[in-house]
Amino acid sequence: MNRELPYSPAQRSAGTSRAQRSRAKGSNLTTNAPTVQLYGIAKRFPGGVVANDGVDCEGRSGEIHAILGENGAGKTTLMRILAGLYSPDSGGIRLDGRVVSFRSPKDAARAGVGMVHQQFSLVPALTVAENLALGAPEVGFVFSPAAWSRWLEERALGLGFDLRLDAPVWTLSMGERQRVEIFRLLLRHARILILDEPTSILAPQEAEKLFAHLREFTQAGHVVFLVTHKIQHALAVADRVTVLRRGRVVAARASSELSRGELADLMVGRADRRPGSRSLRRHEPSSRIVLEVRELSVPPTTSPFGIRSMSFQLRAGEILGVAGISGHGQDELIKAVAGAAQGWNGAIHHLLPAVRRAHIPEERLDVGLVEGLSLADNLSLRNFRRATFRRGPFLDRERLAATARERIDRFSIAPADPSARVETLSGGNLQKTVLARELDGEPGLVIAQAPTAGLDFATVDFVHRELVRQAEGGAGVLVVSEDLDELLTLCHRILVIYEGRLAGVFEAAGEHRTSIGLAMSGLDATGAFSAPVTKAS
Amino acid sequence: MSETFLWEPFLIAVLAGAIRSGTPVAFAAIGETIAERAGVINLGLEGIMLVGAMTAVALKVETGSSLLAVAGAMLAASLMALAHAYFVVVRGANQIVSGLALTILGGGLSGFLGRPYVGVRFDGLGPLRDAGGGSHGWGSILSGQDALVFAAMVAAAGSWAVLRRTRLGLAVRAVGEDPEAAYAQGISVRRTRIAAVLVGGSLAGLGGAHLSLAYTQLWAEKMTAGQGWIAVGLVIVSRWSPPWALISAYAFGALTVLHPQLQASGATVSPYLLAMTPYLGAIVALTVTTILLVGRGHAIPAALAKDLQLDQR
Amino acid sequence: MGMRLIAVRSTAVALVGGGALFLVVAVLLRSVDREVLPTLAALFRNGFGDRLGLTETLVRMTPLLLCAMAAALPAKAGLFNIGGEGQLYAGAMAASGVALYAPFVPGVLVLPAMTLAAGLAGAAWGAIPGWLRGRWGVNEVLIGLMLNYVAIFLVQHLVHGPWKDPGALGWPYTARFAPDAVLPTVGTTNLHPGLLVGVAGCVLLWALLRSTAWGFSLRIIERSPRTARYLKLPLAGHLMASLAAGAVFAALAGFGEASVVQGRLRPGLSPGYGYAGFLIAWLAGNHFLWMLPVAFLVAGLYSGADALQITAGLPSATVDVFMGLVFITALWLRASRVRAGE
Repeated sequence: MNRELPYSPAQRSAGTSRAQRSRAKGSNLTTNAPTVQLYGIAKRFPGGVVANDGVDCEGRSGEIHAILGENGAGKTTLMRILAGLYSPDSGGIRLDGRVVSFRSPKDAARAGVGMVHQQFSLVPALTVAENLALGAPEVGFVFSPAAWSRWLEERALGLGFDLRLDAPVWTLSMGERQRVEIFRLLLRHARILILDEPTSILAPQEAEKLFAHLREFTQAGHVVFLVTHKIQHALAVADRVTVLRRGRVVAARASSELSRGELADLMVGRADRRPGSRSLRRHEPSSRIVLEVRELSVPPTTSPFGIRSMSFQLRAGEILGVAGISGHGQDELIKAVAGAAQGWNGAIHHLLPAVRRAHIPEERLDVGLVEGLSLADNLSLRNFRRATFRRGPFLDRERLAATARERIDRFSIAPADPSARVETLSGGNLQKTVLARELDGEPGLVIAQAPTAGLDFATVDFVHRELVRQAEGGAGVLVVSEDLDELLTLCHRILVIYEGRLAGVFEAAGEHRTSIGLAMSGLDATGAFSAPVTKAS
Repeated sequence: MSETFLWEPFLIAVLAGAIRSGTPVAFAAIGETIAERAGVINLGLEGIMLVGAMTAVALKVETGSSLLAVAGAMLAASLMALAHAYFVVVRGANQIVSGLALTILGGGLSGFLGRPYVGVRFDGLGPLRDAGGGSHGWGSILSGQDALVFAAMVAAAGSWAVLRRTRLGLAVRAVGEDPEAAYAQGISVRRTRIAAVLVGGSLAGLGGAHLSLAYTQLWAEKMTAGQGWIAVGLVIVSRWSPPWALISAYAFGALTVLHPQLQASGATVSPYLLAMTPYLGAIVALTVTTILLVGRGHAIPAALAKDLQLDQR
Repeated sequence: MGMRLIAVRSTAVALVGGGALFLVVAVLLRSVDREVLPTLAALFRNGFGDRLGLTETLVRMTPLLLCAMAAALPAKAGLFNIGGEGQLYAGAMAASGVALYAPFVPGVLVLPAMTLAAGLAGAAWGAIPGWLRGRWGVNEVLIGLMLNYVAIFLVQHLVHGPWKDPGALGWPYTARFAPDAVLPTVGTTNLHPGLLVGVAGCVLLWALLRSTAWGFSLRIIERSPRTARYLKLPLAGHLMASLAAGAVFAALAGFGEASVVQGRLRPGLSPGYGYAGFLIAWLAGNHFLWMLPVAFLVAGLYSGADALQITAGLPSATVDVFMGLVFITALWLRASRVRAGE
């Protein structure tokens, strides 16, 4: 296990003063306690998308400021403007009272603004030290890798980081990469730190560590902007919260003044409010098994762990959730169950033929659908090889078109033009297309990966109801999701994956949220590292 | 054979010949390595080398200055490379098509404009130190070479050093592996790639200049006889490492030089089968490294893979 | 931008491109004291104007079209096949091997045997990069390129060594093929059935690709290999098959060149047909019907320019300059959008 703590008590004071000294050396501005003001920000993208519409936002010295909003609200765009990646159509930025204009990320960096993106900006094939050398002013035209590593090691120690400098980045975990990104910004004397959905790849306990780190950072008077859609994280760490909805500010208050419910309402507008913890399930699963997995082991491919000796059963009519931090083997598990993994051991018993299995993949446009093909074509991806839709080797065009039209109707896909290129559809309609195709034939097994990620709440509701409907109709549904609330709403039982192993099985009915959260970090109820645990209410 | 075979003079002759005849390909391969490291493949090397060769001869004949000839060759080659860089980097055109078009154009232009210089004699680039009649020892392998031969060695060492130990080289590698991450770090992907392609092109032009000015000391249409293509292959064989590109170019040179020797001595080893082996080896190496790195990296500069391959693993 | 404006803009761009091309050609021609318009007219007349020229054009069109098909079919699955040159030589070698060294084959079966051998050899040569790409994701461009060298060296080895014509006084080529091993031609020309195979093949492939499940599968694979895997399409099989099948056409081109045009196996059999085929396929947008006129035009330009060499005394390099400029212009016209940001 990693014992990398951002700050140890002994280093804390030394680190701060050293950090302060190095910041003072390189600082361009007159004050070390910056304030940031974004005023009147408007940004529109080609295609008519209005990302920001007259946004005002202020970051005060020494505060952690959360920018909250659901997906598509304009949070990332706003912060990218602050970081110099975009320029606003109107409005501007004031730093310490002076108007500044950033024409590139370099300008922003020079002014002390640093952003850690969701998509990291590290080159995987180069080492950590080499990545840190890119764009580093301390590195001259010629540099000696050994001397550079030594210099970095000094700095890292001073700031309380423990990094593997000579390891190629592709060998690092997500958490480690995030630390490198933050370290790099601190090296550049960043005084305003922007983090875009940093906790989406962290376990709850790692998130706590990050928050502690951020609090340290702001003690010196710096500002942290935290972009997130997770209400609980915003409330946990932020001093003030700005809520964005559809590109506009709907609230900007101290976090102490707001409750979870109020924030949820602000994010979505009263009318569309999420059902919350009210469960959608009403039926009980049958005892007939549709999928049995025994002692499954899958070699790691997309995660460092793979799957190790996992066993579970899925029954008809049951909604089984798979919870866990992304990258702990969920991908390998689903690949194996869907029959696309290689080199796995153990037993997977499908009690249904392949044609009765549906798979809703995590990536809609890259995997579930084919960009460049029409809506109708995409709706036919499962059909076109079936004998009923062919005349010998030739496609039965009319039949395929008719089926496509039916599906567009039944699932209310908009715009309802079968010949439209599928990539012109909105996220919600893309997912509806995938659902229409996969769920239309009354499958007996449904595998859904992150089925509502990035969707507006109306579609989220639609998807949830559709999944429940399938289960009520007798299908076994396996849902993999990082959103614990979603799983608690939908599922009968929840499996927790940690590092490729089954860390716990929980009945959703009981109040197991804390235990689940702990299991997601490989800890048992007492907070200690544990062997797999099973708990039923 | 009735007489004892004199190994030493044979080896010396072969090595010296290998270095001399491998230099044009070496230049092109080293240059192309830099371009491909930045993520751009240039299949126009054959045409660019020809343009360089012809320009060098034309300028030498017209002005008598070897320096001008070499400089002119590099300039002309750079212009062709600039076209490739423009189409591929600025306009997003298909790299393969652009390179092939330039090969055809380069071959045609050099043949067309070089007609007045076919067979014209001139004082080519001679060895730096006159070997004279006395020194035939191992030292003559290097001492009998012209300036450009040493330039190639410097280019190989220099390229390696730049790629490993300078910010510019780091930027080139970053751009070739993950252009988005590089951009996020404030590196201009466009400018870096254009520069890399230009350097690659001018080195190829230098190679062509050596071929016509020093090695054969004349100009003839299509005189590179496929060496530009060989250079592209050698980049892969040498796994995008400039020093290895130099060495494999010399190996190729050795084969070229050995061929008549082998024929004369009645040896049974076919030089063509021998010449085939590096390419078979490259196929095996590419396959093995790709398999081993599945899911964990790329066997070739990643951006190169992405532009040439639509699959994302 | 309104549709009308886009159309106007495209036409303007095309005119500028065409104009620039004409200008450069004019300058080059004037530099060797040739009248521009009469020379260009002669070029077209030689290539398309009279029976002799037309025949020569069709003869040249055969390997160009076949090699274009070799590049276009894999392109439908998203692959770049620049191994056409090697596949062509593989077919030539196999056919030559049967022609020269299979004495037990009865006369009437020699040509079918050569066809079969060429097809198998080509398929094998194409299956290697295809399979490596399908199974392990190895870059097929680089493998194809390497295999080109291997094929060319193999031919060199054979004609300098085991297959050398004993009566040829040291020239590097094989003995002449017996009449049994030469494809039937039209009259005294070099026009052989290969052209029919190419044309028929194009029409057939075009029809099949748009109306069969196989064609749909390829469309999916080309645009999104990950979706293809998710749908459990036999991705590796399709990739390998499309490259191997395309390679068969290039191999048949090699067979035709060796059997008819050369009458023997020799290095330099192909003046870059494999690469030219790739360019033609690209020009035609990898569309099997459009490839027919494009290949015809390119072949005509080549043969017309060749004739100009004799009639107008222009250097042979002229045709390469012209073709190179044509492709550069096409590149410029095609890539008319500036690559977005970075």
